Amino acid sequence: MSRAVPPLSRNSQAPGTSSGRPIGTATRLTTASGQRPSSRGGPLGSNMRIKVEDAPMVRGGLGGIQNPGGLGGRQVQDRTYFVGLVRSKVSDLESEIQRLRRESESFTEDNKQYFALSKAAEDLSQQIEILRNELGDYNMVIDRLQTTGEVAELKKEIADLTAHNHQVESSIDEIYLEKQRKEQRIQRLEGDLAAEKKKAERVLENMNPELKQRYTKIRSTSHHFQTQMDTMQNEITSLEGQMNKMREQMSGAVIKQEALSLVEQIYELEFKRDQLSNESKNILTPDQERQKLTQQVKEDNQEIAAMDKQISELRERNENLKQNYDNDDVQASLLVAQQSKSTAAAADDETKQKYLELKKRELHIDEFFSTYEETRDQYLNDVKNVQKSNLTLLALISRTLVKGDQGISRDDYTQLKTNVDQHEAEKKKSNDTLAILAEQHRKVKQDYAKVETLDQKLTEELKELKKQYAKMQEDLDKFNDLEGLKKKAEKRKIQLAADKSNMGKQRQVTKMEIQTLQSQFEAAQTQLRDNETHQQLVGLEKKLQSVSQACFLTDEALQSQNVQGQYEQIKRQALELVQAHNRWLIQNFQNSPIA
Amino acid sequence: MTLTESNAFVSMASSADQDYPPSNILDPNDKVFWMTTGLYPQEFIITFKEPIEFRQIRFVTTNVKRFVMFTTSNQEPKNFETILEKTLSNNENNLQVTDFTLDRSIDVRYLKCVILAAYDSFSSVHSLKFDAENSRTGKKY
Repeated sequence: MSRAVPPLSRNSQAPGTSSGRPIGTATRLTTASGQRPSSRGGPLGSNMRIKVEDAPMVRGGLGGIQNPGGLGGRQVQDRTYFVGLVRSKVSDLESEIQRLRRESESFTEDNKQYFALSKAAEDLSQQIEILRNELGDYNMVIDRLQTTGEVAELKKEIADLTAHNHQVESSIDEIYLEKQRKEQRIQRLEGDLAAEKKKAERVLENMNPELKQRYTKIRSTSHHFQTQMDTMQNEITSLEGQMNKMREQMSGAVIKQEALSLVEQIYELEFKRDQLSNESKNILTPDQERQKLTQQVKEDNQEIAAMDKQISELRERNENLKQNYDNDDVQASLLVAQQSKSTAAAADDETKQKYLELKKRELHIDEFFSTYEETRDQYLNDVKNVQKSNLTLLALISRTLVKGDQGISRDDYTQLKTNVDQHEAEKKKSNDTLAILAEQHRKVKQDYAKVETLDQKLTEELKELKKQYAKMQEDLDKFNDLEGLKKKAEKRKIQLAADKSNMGKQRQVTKMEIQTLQSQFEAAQTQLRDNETHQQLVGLEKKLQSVSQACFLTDEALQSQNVQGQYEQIKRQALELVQAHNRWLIQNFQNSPIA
Repeated sequence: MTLTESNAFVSMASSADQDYPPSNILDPNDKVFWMTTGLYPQEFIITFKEPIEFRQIRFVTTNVKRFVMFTTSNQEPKNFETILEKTLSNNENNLQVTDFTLDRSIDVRYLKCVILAAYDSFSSVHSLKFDAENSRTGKKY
């Protein structure tokens, strides 16, 4: 790869034969840059000359003599020299870099040290300060001691001061807490305020334009007023300041002050006088008052009279109405009485209706009675007519029969035939109708049966309901007889209490007995346990259990083995099948031998 | 005066049936009875609110083979003393009436009767009566 890069190296390669050598020499050159001149002087130099007879070469040789650096650049037609150069430069650079790095490191270290030292210096200065303070304190103490000469007093003072300090600290804490609380409250209030503002805005948005306009107007006026108020307030404050100044100025002179107070008094008194005069203007003379009152009384009386009149009118009207009402009532009752003469019952609505119904029915009946004769006659006439027609028909039939005996004419026959056909059709029709009627009858009968069953059910239900009702009545009676129930409950309570006490006694006794029995049982058990035969028995029982289990298992295994071993039947079956098959084959081939 | 109404009551019984409650033991009527269940021994304790004195006992049962009676005059039903132990003959489901007179009259607060064995799976106790020494003049409990 390195070989492919510079074109110079290719040139050097072109001679071919020496290509292997120069590389080696070049490397030698690079490794020992100081020996360059000697090597050139050696076989290498001759080699170069042989290789290329170029001016640069000569020049290179010359250059080499003049100054080795230039010579080297010239001489190194092969890249290895450059590589060496570069390497040397790189190493130089590296060493430089290292140096710089070392320097920088030392600088940073120095810096660090400087920082540490400065810190230490600060600490020390602080310490010095503290010590100085202490010293001041001690000096003060010594001073004090020299002036007062009492150690105890000093100590006391110190204690007082510390206590005071503590107090102040606690108060500061409290104040801090208070401040926090206040801040919180302020925040909350601000939040509330914002919410209120939002609400107000919302309200404003929701307002109709008319109101909005009005609102804005009012707002502007309020603003205006506020500004006015502010200016006034300012004025007032300024005036007050002026007044105070004046007062201060006046405070020097006693007479002036007195005059001021007197002026103030005068103002007050004048104000009072004005008030009183106003009042006196408003007061009327007694005569006028009396007149006014009498007039009022008169007016009131008039009003009362009018009211009385109205009341009497209303009363009259009321009475009139009442009379009218009574009259109407009497009439109505009379009417009803007339209507209900037959029933002679009270004149309420139900009986009236009933009466009307009865009347209607009576009318029907009367009508029937009046028309009965006529209808009867009519029916009788009808019957007679029918009889007559029957007779004539019979006569006709007999005549035709006689004729038929003599020989029925063709016309007659056809007529008869048509008649017969007609009759047949009629008969069919009637048969059909009969069938329909029968069907209808059946349906109706079914319906009837259904209705009957329904009726039965209903009656049963009714009975049940009646029973329930009776039961409920009984229960009601029972519940009504609260006293009895209470008594019963009381009785039961007493009985239960007695039972309870009884049981309690029994419980005690039973417990004791159980204890004795338990002890007996335990004794018996221990005896049993101590008994050797029992132990043996227990062991044997266990053994028996295991043995019986084993026996059962072996039994099962045996059975399964037996089942496995019973191949006789299967064998027989198989053989039989084979024989049957053989037989079948023989039969088949006897009947139809193979072709 | 029956025992149930007086100061005695059955304070413990090893069997209980609604139809044949232990209280039937103190009922003087022989037609009502207390019925035991199948296993033995069965027992019951009679408690007297006031201690009594008696000498004669009348015990009516069926199918009972062997029973023991204990008494005590202690305040608590403990430390019973045997007063009577008896084997009855089989009476084939008929009433066995046992009359017994003690050697001397005894003070009793609790009486325990244990049926140790029976002729059948079930046995019954029909009544238990106590008489003082002189049965004709003595108070019957």
